[in-house]
Amino acid sequence: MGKIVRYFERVIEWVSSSILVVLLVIVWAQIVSRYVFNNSLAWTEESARYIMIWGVMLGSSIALLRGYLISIDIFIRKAPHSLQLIAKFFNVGLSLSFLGILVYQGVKLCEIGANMESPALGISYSWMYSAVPVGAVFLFFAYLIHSRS
Amino acid sequence: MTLLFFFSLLILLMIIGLPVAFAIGATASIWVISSGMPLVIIPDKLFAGMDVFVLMAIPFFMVAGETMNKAGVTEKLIKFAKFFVGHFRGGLAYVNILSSLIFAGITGAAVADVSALGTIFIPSMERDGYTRAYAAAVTAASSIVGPIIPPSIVIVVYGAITNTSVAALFAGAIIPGLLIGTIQCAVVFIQARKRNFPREDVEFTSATVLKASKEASLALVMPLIILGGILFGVTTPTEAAAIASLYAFIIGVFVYKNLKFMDFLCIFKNATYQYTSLMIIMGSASVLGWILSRSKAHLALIKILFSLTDNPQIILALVLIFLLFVGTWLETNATVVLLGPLLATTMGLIGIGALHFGIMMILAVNIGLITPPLGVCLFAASGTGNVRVEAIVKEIWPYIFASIFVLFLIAYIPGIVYFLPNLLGLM
Repeated sequence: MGKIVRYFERVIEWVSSSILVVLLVIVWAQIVSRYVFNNSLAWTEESARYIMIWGVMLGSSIALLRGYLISIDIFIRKAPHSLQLIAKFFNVGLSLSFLGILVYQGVKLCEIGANMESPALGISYSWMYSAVPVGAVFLFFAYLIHSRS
Repeated sequence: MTLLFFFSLLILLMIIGLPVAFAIGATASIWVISSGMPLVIIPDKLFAGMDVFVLMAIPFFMVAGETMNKAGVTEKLIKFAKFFVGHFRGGLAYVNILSSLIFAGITGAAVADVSALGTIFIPSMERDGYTRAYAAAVTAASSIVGPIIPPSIVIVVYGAITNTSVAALFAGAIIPGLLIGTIQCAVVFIQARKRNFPREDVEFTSATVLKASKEASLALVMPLIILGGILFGVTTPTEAAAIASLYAFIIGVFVYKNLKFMDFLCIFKNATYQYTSLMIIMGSASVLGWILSRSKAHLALIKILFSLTDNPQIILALVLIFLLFVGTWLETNATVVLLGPLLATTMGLIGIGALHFGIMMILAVNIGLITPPLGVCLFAASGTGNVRVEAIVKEIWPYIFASIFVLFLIAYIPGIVYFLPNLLGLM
């Protein structure tokens, strides 16, 4: 189990960090085409935006595991143990419910998006929208693992 | 009433320890459910909140700043800054502030500046006879200009979420940022006389000056690329940030020659953690923002404010005090994401523009970075300098009050903010 988790972790970490490199390259290409060749590429801005959303939805689960997700813990750390347990119950329950909504409704959003095409690239919106449910699944498990430790 | 209920719920969820992104998302979801709207709105708005091109400037600025820092630009900038202010009484304290100002033109966040400058300044100021707590306090206090003077991550966040021009905001933030630096220097000036601070021996020969300027000039070009491109409308903020990253790579690899493959790995991984954790908040806040504007929350809020007083000047002061308070508890960007759109539209009702209000908000939440009990820069300075937070807090109060003075100055003299955007035709 632990092995599978670590494997996923490393793959997602590599993919999301590489996405940041890809974003830079796309924007450099946009700059070169616009200012050097005086010819704006139509696909750069749109594709960069969608790739970034994929990067965020994948990368945030790793950010969560590494403790980068912002939260306020000063109050809860000072609370008595029994209160901490109740708080944790609501914390995990509500967070996972929110992520569950994102997964379930995200799939519905993809179904809606299947009939829509992006203006510049002309590809189905399902490709972009699917970042939300997929990322939310990873966030769901990441939060489960994170709150067990 | 609903507004108060959902904000109390949100605060409760954050207090019991939900990550801010999930607390906002859960509150917004409960609101959507209770008003009977289709739930598919939640992923839809989450997506839309991140689908903004200018936000891509955030990871790029992070990469550019971190690369410059890793390339060892900090020491060269400090050496350069010494020639200007080192020989005054309290020299190193001035050098610290001036370095922060220059550094602010390269990086867009404050905490990184504290550790970058603190590791150098805290030991060297202590050697010169300052207390360690004082050195840490000056380092922390001056770091807040980092996210005020462009490039600034929090300004990009505010611009994206309130639909305000990032270029105009960048231009508007320059003078307030310099004012904070200036007034902090004034604090040093007074303290230097009272406590008899030492001067720094600066070797003023044409050879040393030339060498230091030459080394620093490569770093000083970066703010020019970023600001010049954006303010004169040549590049978008995202493009300027991408060019700045490329410039930083070239400097680090070919000129200073001290960046290795492992450094880049580290830079990209860290930037990924930081920007994704910020963007996920932007996404869930966009769900909340949508339902706030749909339920006309700004009208409810202005009614509450008008029930306290009908003087717009006092309302503005109350809002700023509220922001200073929130800023001490909640992370800077999260505060702006959460309250920016609602407060900006509400302030619009009493005639305060989104640009003017944005700069005030950014100053207020950044002052929160150095205000106890939770100011993160205090903790960063405490960790870097190995000093107790309480000791730093004792020394930092004059700087906090001085910075708050600047905040109220720009609040009641909007011309300070509007001068540069007007001059550059960005309005």
